[in-house]
Amino acid sequence: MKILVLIKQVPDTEAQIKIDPSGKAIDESGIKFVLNPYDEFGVEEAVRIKEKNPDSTVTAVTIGPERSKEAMRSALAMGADTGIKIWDDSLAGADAGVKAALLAAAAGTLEYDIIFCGKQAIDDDQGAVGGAISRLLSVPFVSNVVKVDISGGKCILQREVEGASEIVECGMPCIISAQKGLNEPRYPSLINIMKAKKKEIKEMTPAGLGVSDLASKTELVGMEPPPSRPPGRIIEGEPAQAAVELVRILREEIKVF
Amino acid sequence: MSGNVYTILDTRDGEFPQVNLEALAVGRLIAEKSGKDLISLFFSDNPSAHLDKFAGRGVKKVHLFASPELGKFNLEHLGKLTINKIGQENDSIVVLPANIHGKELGGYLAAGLGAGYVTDCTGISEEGGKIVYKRPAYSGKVIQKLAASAGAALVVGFRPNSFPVPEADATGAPETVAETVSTEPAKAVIVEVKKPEGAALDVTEAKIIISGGRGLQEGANFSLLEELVALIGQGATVGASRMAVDAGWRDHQAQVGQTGKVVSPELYVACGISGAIQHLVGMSSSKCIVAINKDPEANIFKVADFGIVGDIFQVVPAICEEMKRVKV
Repeated sequence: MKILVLIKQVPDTEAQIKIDPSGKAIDESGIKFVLNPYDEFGVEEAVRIKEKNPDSTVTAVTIGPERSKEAMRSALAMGADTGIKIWDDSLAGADAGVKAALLAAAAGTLEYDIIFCGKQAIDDDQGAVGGAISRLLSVPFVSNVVKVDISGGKCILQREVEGASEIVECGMPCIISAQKGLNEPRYPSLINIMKAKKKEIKEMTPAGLGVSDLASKTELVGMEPPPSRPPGRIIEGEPAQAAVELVRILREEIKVF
Repeated sequence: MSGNVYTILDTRDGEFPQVNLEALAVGRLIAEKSGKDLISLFFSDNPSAHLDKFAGRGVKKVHLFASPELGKFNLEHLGKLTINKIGQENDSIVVLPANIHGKELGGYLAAGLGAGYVTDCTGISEEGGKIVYKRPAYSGKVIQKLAASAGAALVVGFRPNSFPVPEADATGAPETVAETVSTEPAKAVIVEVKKPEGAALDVTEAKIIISGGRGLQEGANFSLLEELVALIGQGATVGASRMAVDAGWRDHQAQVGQTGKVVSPELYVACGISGAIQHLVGMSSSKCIVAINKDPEANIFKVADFGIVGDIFQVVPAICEEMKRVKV
């Protein structure tokens, strides 16, 4: 089995995000970057499939600047065999459509049975790539997957939707986006972290992939902090009194029930 | 040729969900701002049962795609039929909900239409002659303002529960066009839909969320919150912090926060949740937030509209008692 995992380096979930004075980017100073948590589920699932099917290969593919090699090393330490990193400086600020075109072009140069990606990267939170490359590669896509069973050349996938789980039967090759619950990603051992340093990260450029149209179809007009909430009110008193007052406020002032 | 505003709608278990009315409201808003016509593509096994829903919503034309296989969501069918219908019209705007299916479809459509993509849109305004779409990024730590590049088509996924649905007005019913549906067999097909027995309302769809965290001490104690949810009744559900989910107290479907779901209900009650930033980004767009925590310094009080400093094992039962009293 040949497996690709699309990964991205993103700010850690703990990171305080400040807007750059340009208003068009975030201030990266002091931010710790990590492998996108949803991509970790994808890497883990790919490595587990490889462990069950020893002839398999796992290739991690990312788009990002030099610093994103660290996230790639994390994926390699978890068990991916090789990495591909795509970048040139013209890609700073490129939108999801441009990145999807590059990832599809990269996938087009490789053989694959399954492409894993996270259900979204926790920076832009768009979740656009899986669907876009599905169209570009004419390969089926199932998102938000929490269970993968492979048998008889098919995948049986469990997709979590609002209030239900859907069981989806899907031929291969296919694209699967990982949701929390798919697995528990491993912590790489020290020896695997050391081994990962010796694994190959192949660097590619848009030109090398034959992608020349790098124009974003969206324009970032600006960024602003989220609206702050007005200061709240502490309801004083013993639990019973406070509860009575809270219920009164919710019924009479907020009118939620 | 100048494009149109299209809403992409389907049915869920034969029903016309509320989110479709939201899509029509968002579509109308964009149509009015852009001076374009509002057109719906409606996919269903039985679309004609719902035609009355389109009246009075500013829709000029509804294209009906009727086929048994369209009774269940299928990315390939919806994607290809939509792309074939709209083609590569420049500066069209395609509106769909940013729920799980809508997000799966959104990226696909953007690629197929050669369009830009904005998802989880929570607000629409005009700035400098452009329609600007606001959306939270970095889990809500930043609001991005995006516009279509000059001449580009755009796919806009809006976050459910973020746009009001006005009452239908007197503009009447749209023209309807029955489309011929021809599809190739899909490569990915839903073979079963599992709804757990007595399945709880999903946190993203609830009007009221009673959420629990570390302070509940063990999974069984979520019964306290379930009791309150039952007393509130329809529209209410139980949510959980990441800690509660990772401890196995609650299913991850109920997780609110950065690696869970982002919610914006009418009322969010955080019980025994300290308020880590990863949790706050998932719920701080709720309309009203109540925090109950015994630690007066807990971060959650910084975003709460109302707070009770106290033991949830005393306060929550007292709220239940009061709810029972006022309901009688």
